[in-house]
Amino acid sequence: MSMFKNIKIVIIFYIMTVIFYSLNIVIAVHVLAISLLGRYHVISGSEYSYWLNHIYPVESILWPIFFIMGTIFNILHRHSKIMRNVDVSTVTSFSSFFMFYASVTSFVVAFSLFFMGIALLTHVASMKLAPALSYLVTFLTSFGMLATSTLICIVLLDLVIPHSDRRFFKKGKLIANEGGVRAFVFTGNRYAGFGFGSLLRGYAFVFTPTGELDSIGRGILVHELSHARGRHTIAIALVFLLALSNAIIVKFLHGLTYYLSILFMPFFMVLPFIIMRVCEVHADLALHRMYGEESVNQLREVLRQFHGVDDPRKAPLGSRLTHPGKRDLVLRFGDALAPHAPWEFPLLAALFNAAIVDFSLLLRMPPSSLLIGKYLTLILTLFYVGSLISSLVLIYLLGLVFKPLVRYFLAGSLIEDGLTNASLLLSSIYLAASVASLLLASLWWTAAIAAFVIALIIIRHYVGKLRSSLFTVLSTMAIYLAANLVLLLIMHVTAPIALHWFEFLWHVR
Amino acid sequence: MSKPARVVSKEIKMAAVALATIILMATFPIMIPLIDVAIMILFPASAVVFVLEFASIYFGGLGLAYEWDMVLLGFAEVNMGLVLGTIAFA
Repeated sequence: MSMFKNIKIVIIFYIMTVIFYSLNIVIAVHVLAISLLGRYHVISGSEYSYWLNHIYPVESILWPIFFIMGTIFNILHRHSKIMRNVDVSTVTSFSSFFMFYASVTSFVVAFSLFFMGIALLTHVASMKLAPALSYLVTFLTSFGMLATSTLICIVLLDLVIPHSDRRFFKKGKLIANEGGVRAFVFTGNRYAGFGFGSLLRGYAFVFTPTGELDSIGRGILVHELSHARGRHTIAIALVFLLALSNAIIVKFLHGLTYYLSILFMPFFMVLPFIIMRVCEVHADLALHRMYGEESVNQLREVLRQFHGVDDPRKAPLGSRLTHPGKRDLVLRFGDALAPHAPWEFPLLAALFNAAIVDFSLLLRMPPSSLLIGKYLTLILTLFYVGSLISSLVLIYLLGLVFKPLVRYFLAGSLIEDGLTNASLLLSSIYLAASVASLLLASLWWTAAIAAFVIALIIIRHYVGKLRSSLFTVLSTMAIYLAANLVLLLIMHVTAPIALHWFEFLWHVR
Repeated sequence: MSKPARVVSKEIKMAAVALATIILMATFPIMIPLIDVAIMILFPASAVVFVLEFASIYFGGLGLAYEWDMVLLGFAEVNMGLVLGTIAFA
């Protein structure tokens, strides 16, 4: 049993799972390139089937095997190390508790996926709907299946864990049991905390050197309780499942729909990290509401214990990826928009925009052109990068335009960084809606309404005042629509001239 | 929380410049070719750079030849060829 005592073995198995899973995507891209060449008779079908028949299955079998071994090792590790050992070291307790949930849940997800999903997805993928609709149906089917099996598994674990982990909970002191959330204090080797909000119940673990709840421990407790009560774990897990389901359906899609899935991959990979940062900022907001400016000192003390620095901006990169570096701003002023970096929301919107703009280019390409078919990947990559950069530029320019208006209406509620982020958030939402309307054709106005509602809900959530948020969204949206109208009017003059020049060049050639 | 009037007026000027830039983007389809032609007339050497750039993008597609070779020669041969080629090149 000695090898099960080492958490590193468990982690190695999960890392290998991730590597093999990423290899899946690389191979999928390769298969795409080969199938494109095969389609235009550059290569024969045998090479294509060689990849499909030999490389792909071997790698697809190894992935679940590593996954199952990781899960088994994790359960045995918990049994031998955490449940029997008297000493509770903070890091192993977190990883064991969280990874038990994660590994059992993912195992059920993988199981349901491979034995139930494949038939369903291939059926949906062969329905021959319009490309974007086909992608949406397949994506939502896959996501719905993943989310349902995850939530069912989490409910089952919620019922099991209080009995299976009784010995572990006895090591700590139960200090609160309210609203389905149980809070424990443990004696740890340093200050630390862990909040886990599941469907039926939540847990908040606080580790202090003495095992007593001192003032710093109370600060950690409020932060972790906010995670547990807000069910942040469920939210982040569901957003991760979005990325996972997008990666999985790559296998079942063909042609244009396949490209849409590939193009959305970067957006879905960045999304969970942004959501994670939003959750952390909200947990810090709860801390601010409880302790006010005193919470900054609590944070400094915890950072000193954890990373040896007392400024959150100087914390290691691993910490600053999930917890924003400027988190002292929310603790000091209670402004939950200010800690976010100014690139976060624009980057997310730009990735979304680039995927949709690139896809709409693909829809308008003549499919029979040999030259386009041969260099399709190259063209799409260049166009993706171009539209990413140009939409970033547009979002920042629009953010500059909105800033004075946002300051006029929201100066009393947000600090300087919050105002910047609010204007960038608004311009990101409007531009993403404009781009989404490319695929909506005559229903383009639904994107405008959706942008208005989403922007209003988000700004109202951060500001807390309906009236000023309504005025902010109305005025910025009016400016945005007016600018669009002016652009449209000028393009009516310039676009035909440019087209005329282009045609002239074509005829000369 | 409130900013001095000087900063706010600077911010409004920046907003005006940004709005003007966005609106001028509608003239890019005719402005960019005009600027291109002007540059070509003023600096003829830039035409050479354009040709080189175009060629590098055009022949960049040769990466796909890897798959094509694989059909003719097979998986192992092409990978060995790549390894040997890398050694020889180094």
